[in-house]
Amino acid sequence: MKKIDEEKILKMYSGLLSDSEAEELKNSLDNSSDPENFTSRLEDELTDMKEIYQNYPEPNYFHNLSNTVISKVEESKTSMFQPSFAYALAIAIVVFVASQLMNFNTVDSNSEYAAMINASDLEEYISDQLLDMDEFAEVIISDSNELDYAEYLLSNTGPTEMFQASEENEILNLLDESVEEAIFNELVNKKIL
Amino acid sequence: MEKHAEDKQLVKDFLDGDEKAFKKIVDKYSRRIYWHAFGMLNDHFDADEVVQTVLLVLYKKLSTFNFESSLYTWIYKITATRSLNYLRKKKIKNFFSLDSDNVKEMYSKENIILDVERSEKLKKVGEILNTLPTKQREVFMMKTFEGMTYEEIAEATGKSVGGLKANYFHALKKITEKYNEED
Repeated sequence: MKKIDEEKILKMYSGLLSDSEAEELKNSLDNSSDPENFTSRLEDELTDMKEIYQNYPEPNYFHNLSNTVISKVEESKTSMFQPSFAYALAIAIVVFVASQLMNFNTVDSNSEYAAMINASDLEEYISDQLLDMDEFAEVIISDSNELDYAEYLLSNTGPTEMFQASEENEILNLLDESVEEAIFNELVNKKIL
Repeated sequence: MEKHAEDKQLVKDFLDGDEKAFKKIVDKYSRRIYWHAFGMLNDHFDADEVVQTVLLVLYKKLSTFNFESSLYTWIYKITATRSLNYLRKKKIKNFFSLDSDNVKEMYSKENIILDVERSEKLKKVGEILNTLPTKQREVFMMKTFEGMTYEEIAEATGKSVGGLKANYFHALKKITEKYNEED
């Protein structure tokens, strides 16, 4: 009985063998008894995984996605006029202005740019971040420790990148990275994380 | 090239006001987005949140997409960034949460799973995939589940085809070993 070379078979599946080597291996497998059924076991495992991939989650999940997103867009448009949004926005603006005043004497490149920001810029930024709005409002209102976090978020939103970058899709990434990175790094610096 | 042309047309139709074109884009890419997010977050509800975020970004920002890369490369980058940010946010949230110890279990009972057998299979696959380093897991999922070629993965991730092949090889090797251990 010929012992098959499992490593070679894996290499074939990985595309690491040249076409001729793969062909040769296939032929030798066809002519061998493949005692451990390695190839078929491997194929079964991959098929098993693919089956899960194709059947999970429920079929309707993907079917309904576009409608969910479109109604979310509609919702976000109307929520701009809801009291909770206005309330959160007002608080956000107050917190932002306060944080700017507190940082007034320590002007660095960030706060220099931050000082350029005005209420409509902030509104635009927050509306752009609508998905995080609920969480944002919750953070501001719920806890005084988290107020620091909200202040930090507002004073480090990176208006530099946000309003000066030329590529819109670049802005998308920068927004997230600048905000999230800043918070994350600060928490790490403070040894909280 | 034809695939890019099809995406280009879909984007154009959507920007011209045809929402069905958006639905087609969602149908075409949502599974990939979902599995990428799932691969990073290991939870249906977390992945679902990222999927919806990414699709919402697409809906709002497709007008800014200029086809300097393929549409999927752009989607991939948004998905990867959003998934990573979600992970970080979750970490911060857990820190602030009163019952931070009560972190949602991976594959929690709440997950929408149709039957026990599928649930078990998913758990097994998830556990095995989780033993892989991120890069290997990413390549393996894109190649095996999404049927992408190395060239397509290289374009999306910016990595070399050779490196991707090596990552896939190591992933496959570990998965096979893991399966064999459990048998």
